[in-house]
Amino acid sequence: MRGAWLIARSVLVEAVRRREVYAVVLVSLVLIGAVMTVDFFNIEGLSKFYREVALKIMSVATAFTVIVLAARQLPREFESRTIYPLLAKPVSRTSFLAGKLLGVMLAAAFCFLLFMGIFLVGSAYLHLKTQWALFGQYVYLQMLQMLVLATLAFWLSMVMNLDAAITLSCVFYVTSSVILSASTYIYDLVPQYAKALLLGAIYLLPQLDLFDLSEKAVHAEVWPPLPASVMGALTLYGIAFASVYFLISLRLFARKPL
Amino acid sequence: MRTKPGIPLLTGIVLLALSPLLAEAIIRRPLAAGIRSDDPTASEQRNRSAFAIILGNFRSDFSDLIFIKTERYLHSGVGFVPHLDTEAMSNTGEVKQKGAPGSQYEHDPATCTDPTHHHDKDGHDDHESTTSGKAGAAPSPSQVMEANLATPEMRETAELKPGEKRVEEEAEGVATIVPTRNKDFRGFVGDLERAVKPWHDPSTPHTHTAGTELLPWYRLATMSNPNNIRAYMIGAWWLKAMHKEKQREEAVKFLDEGIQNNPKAFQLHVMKGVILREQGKTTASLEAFLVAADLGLAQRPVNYEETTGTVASSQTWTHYMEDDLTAALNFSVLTVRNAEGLGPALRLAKQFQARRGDIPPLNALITRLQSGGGAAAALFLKP
Repeated sequence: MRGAWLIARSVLVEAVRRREVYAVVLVSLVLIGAVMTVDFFNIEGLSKFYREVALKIMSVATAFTVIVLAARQLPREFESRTIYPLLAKPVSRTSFLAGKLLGVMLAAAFCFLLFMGIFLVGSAYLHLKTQWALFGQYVYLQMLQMLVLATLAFWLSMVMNLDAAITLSCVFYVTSSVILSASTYIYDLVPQYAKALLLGAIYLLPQLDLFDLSEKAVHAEVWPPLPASVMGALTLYGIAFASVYFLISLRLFARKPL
Repeated sequence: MRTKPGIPLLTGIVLLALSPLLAEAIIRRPLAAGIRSDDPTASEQRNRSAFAIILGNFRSDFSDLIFIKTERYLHSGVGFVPHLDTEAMSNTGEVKQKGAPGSQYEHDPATCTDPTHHHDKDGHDDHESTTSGKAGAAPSPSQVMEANLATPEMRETAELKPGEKRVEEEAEGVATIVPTRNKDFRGFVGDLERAVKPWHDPSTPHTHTAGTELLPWYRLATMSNPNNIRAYMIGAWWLKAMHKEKQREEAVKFLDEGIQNNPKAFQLHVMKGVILREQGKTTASLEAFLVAADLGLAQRPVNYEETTGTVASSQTWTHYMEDDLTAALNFSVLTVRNAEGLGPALRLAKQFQARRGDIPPLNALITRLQSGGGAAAALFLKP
């Protein structure tokens, strides 16, 4: 356990020191700032536009950061041969991978916290109300989504090269909402075997869009927080996929000759 | 043979430095009607397609994204099967619905359950053109103009401040993009999506939120495509509907920008004239109406078929444009009547008639003016 924590800490420290996170935050901040400098007819209290643009940029930036960070953890260890002295220590491969995942998640949380800080400062500056309960749920679900993405990137980085793993993870992240909405629309139009395939795709692929509460957060004056049962179901759903991907990654990692 | 690494780099820098010269070679011309983002009919069709619904927010064109945003923002983020008539909104600000594939909504007055539709509003059915003579007695010019500028429903929505909401008393019955449980094959995943995304049962009343929240999107739409006349019109309408002097001034500025980018868009001049008139700037508003009338008369196809609202030779003249032209003519004539009296007003109307004699509302107005103004005209444009 201590070994896993040390590895996690080293991942986090490296992520923070490499300044990539700050660069992503800064670029996102410039983007949001550029949009908000447009004069919107001198109308005060226009909250939805700010919320929508800011939350979308922040979610996407965090997701891409997590994908890149997670996907390069294992290949880089092999490439730089730093994995050998690490595994020579009394650290199991499970602890090693768990530590890596924990580190990536801590880095994701750090990145997201920076974003949320900026978002809240912006909201305060614009005198916008924040629905704290819904906002808290939004942050929690985003972290669940990052967990699924991180484990998926781990898995992909074990079976393909780094660039391919990053690209595929990003493509999956971007298109996941399309898969979810397209399935309902085309289901009635396809033959029986394709219906079965669609159902399989819906259940076998993680529907990342289910962790995106941003649309309700944008229209927060109308929507109450999600019930605990839904949050519980989403937690189980996310952890189930993350566990499967983690176990596959672990199995592949265990088989990898050193 | 090895090339010195500095040479390709230097070549690249020189080419990059010279690249602005390419801009001189680009032939600049305004977007022609029919080009992707500028053709309202094509835009409506595109945004109602299954592919567009599936893609959701993934759009290549800002005007298409606005279509989605308008639908979502007015309905608290709920994704309905596209049903708003943006062509009507750009002219009237009216949240008017169109039947859509898969929609439970039918555009038949006999079966329509939509409370936003008034099948007998001001003596005419709003399923049809507001141009006179479509159903029952011809509406007066004031009725045409009022119908063209705002419906009570729209005014009510427009008066909502950011953050406020209004719950409909009756369900609209329009299908949502995320289907109801009994129509969803996805079971557990579908349940989660309905819980996480803004969604409500189409058979229950839903909530409308302030349309003014859309204004930044219209601002960006016109920045990304300065030829997006509809975005200028709807944006100006929302500003006008806020009933504040500061926002009226912003609306006029916004329209001036639109006019600068689209000098021939007579609808923008009509809207500008209406807002100036609300500001009490009679001379400036008359000027805007006269420009609108002049431009509109020049653009109106000769063979516009008033009875069917179709144009044999051109698909670019819609009945909304006909209504806008009618408004421009009426406002011009009646503003002159109020300022200078019946004689000059009649002369102006006859000048318009001489240019295009086949505009029934104008003919009706001339008849009323000739009979001394008439009761209907007296209701209109009180000084």
